[in-house]
Amino acid sequence: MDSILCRVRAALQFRRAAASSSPPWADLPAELLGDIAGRLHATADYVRFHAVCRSWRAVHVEEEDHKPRLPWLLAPSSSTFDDDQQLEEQRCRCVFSKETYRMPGICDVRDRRVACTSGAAGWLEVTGGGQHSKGVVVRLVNPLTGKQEQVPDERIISTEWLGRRHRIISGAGAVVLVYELDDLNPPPDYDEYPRHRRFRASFLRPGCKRWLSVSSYLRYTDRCCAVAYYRDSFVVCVGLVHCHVLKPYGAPTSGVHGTREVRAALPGQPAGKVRRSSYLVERDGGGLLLASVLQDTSTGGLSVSLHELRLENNGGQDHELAVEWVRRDDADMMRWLGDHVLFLGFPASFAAKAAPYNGEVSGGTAYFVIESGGQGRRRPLSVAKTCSVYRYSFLNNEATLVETLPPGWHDARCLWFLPRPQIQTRFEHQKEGSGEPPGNFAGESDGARQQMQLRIYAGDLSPKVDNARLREMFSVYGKVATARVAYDKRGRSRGFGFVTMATQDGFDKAMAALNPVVKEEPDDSFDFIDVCLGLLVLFLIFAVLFYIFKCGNLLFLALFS
Amino acid sequence: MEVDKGKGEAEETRKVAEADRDTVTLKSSDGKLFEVSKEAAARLSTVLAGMIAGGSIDDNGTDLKQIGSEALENVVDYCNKHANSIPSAALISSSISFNTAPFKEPEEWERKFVDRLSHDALFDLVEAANFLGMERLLDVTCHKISEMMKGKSPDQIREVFNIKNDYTKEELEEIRQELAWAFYDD
Repeated sequence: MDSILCRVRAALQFRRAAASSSPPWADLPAELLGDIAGRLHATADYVRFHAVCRSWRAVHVEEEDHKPRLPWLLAPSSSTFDDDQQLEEQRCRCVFSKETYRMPGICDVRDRRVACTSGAAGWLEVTGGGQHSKGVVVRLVNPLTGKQEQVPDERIISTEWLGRRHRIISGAGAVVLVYELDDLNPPPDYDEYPRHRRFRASFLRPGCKRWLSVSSYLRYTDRCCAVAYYRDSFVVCVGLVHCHVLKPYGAPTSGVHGTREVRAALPGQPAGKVRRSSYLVERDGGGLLLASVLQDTSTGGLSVSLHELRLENNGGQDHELAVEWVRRDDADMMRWLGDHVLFLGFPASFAAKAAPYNGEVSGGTAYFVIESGGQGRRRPLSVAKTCSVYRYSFLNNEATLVETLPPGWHDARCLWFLPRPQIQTRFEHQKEGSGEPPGNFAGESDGARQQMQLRIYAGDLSPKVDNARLREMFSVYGKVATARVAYDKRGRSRGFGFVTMATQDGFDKAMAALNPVVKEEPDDSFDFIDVCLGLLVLFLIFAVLFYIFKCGNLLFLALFS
Repeated sequence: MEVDKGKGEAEETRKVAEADRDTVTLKSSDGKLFEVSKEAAARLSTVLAGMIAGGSIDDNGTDLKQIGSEALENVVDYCNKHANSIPSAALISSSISFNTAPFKEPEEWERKFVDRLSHDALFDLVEAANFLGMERLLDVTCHKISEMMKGKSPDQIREVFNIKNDYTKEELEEIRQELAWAFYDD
C-alpha cells in the first residue's frame, strides 16, 4: 500500500509542479485514458480520440483493434455487376452517430463486399490479369484501411469469389458461400414459369480444398432475401413466403453437385400482419434463426418474430428432408436474446454480444432497415423511396425509429458490419520496415502474439515473387503458416513480404540459412534487358563525348587560327 | 513496564472505539477534514476498504495528501449520496460480482452529480477516484468524459480539454491518411 501511495504521490507532485491554468488532460494515467477510449464505441470517435495528441495515441493497444465497435451500414451497390467501367463511391453510415463516411480504400473499385456472419466485412481486391483471367490475384482487404485481412485459411480466397455476386463467410470462416440469383437467361423448357430464377452457388466446405457448385431453378421468386449454408444444405429464403432447402448429394461431376430440393413455406404470417422481409441469422450454438419483420396491416406497426430451422432426414432416406420452422419466443431464447443484439441485413445478418457496448446498444434488440411507406406498391413513382432504420425490442415488443436514412439511401438491402480501424502507434518514419501487421478477420486471436515472433521479414524480393512462390521458398525450412508479399494499391509488389513459420524450429532454420538477406535470384530476361540498356547508355556516352571532342576541336581551331 | 502496558491497553481501547464508530475521517492535502460513512467508504473504495480492514485509519483524520479538498469533498459527497440513494438491483449485483458484471449506465443522480462539475473538478475527481480505487465513481466520471468527446473532431476535443497538438506536420498527415474517412470536414 505504502509503495503505491509513494508512487502516486510522486506522480501527482510532478503533475502539480507542471500544472498550468488548465488540468493536464493529456497526462491522465494510461489506464484511465484506456478506459475512456474503450467507451467510445463509435469507430469515428475512437479514431479521433487517438488523433488528439501523442500521449492519447500511446495508450492504444493492438487488442483494441479487434474489439467490437458500433456497426456501420453499407449502402447496396446500384451498379450492375457486369458493368466494369461504372465505378461508384461506397458510402457507409453509422446510424448511432448519424454520420456518413466515404471509404477511400475501396471507393475506386466496384462493389466487391464480402459479408461475414461474425459481423466483420471484407472487400475483395483484384489485381493483375488485366483483360485475361490468368494471373489474377484476389485478396481480402479491410474496407476501412485497404490493408490485407488475415483469414483462417488462405485457400478460401480464390478467384471463385469473382464469379458470383454475393459472398458470405459463415461459421467463423469455416464455410464460404458465393451465390447469385439471376433471371437473365431463363431456360427454354421453363417458359411456362416466367417467374423462375436460377440460383447458382459455389461453396467451400470445412476441410475441403475444392470448390463445389450447385445450381437450381427456384420458383416463385421475386426477390432473394436470405441465403445461408446450414448443416450441409443451402437454405434460401426467397420472396416473402417461400423457402428452398437445397442439399447437395452424390459425388460432384466436374465440381458441380446435384442437388435435392425441398420447397417449404416460411412460417405463416400472423393474422393482420404481413411479412416485410426475412433474414437468416447464425446462432453461436450452431442453430439457424429466421427473423421476420412483420407489419401490422391496420396500424403499420413493425415487429420481429423469430423461428428456428429444424432440418431432419425423414425415415432414414437421406434425400427426404423434413423442413420445419419452430417459433422461438420461449424463455431459453429470450435469455440468449437478452445478451445479444441482432443486426439484420443483406446478404448476411449477425448477432453481436451486447455487453461490450456498455448499454449503448442494449441486448434483446434487433436493428433492421426498411423502405418507408408501407408495402410500396401504391406509392406514386414520382416520390423517391426512403429507407429507415428501426430498432425492435424483444423485451417490450416495440419498434422504435432510429433514423430515416438521408436521400440516396433508397434500397433497404444494406449490409451491417463491424468496422475495424487500425490505429498505428508508431509512425511510418519510425518503423524499420513499413509492413503493417495484417488485420484479423474471423476473430481468431489465439496465438497471434506467438505468430508475430515467428514472422520473418523477407526483403529485396523480385517483383515476380508472389505469395505462393514465397511460401515455396520458405517451405524447405519447415512448415509455413502464412506467406505474404506486400503489394501496393495498384497490385505491384513492394519488394518485400512476411513469412510466418509454423514452428520455432522452422523459424530458426530459415533465419540461419537466409540471413541477412533473403533474395530471389534475378530473372534471366531481366538480365538481358539490363545488359542491353547498359550497352545503349555506354554507346550514347561515347557518342556525346565524340561530338564534344569534335566540336571542341572546331572551337579550338576557330579561336586560334 | 507498567506504563508501557497501560499505554498498550489505551491503544487497544482506542482501536476498539474506532472500530465501533460508523464514520471515518479523511484529511485532504490542505488539511480539511471530512467525515464519511464507513460502510459506504468500504463498499465504494477498495483502497479505503483495505485501510479500514488493516486498521490504518487515523481517528484524527486519515491523511490523503494526494487529494485536494475540493476533490475530496466531491468524493465524500458522492459516497454519502450513494449511501442515501436506494441502491438499485443493478448496483447490488455489480458490487457483488464486481469484475464480471457489465457496466451499468450511470443513474440519474450520478449523471447530475458529474454534470455540475467544472472541467477542473472533474479532472481532480477522476484522479481521486482512480487513487482510491473507486470503480463505480470511475465508471461514472470516465463515462462523462467520454460523452464529452463523442461526435467531436480532434481539433474540437483539443479545444474542450485544452490540449496542445504535439504532432509534427508529417505525423498529422500520416494520421489523416491512415483513416482518412474519419477526418472529412463535412
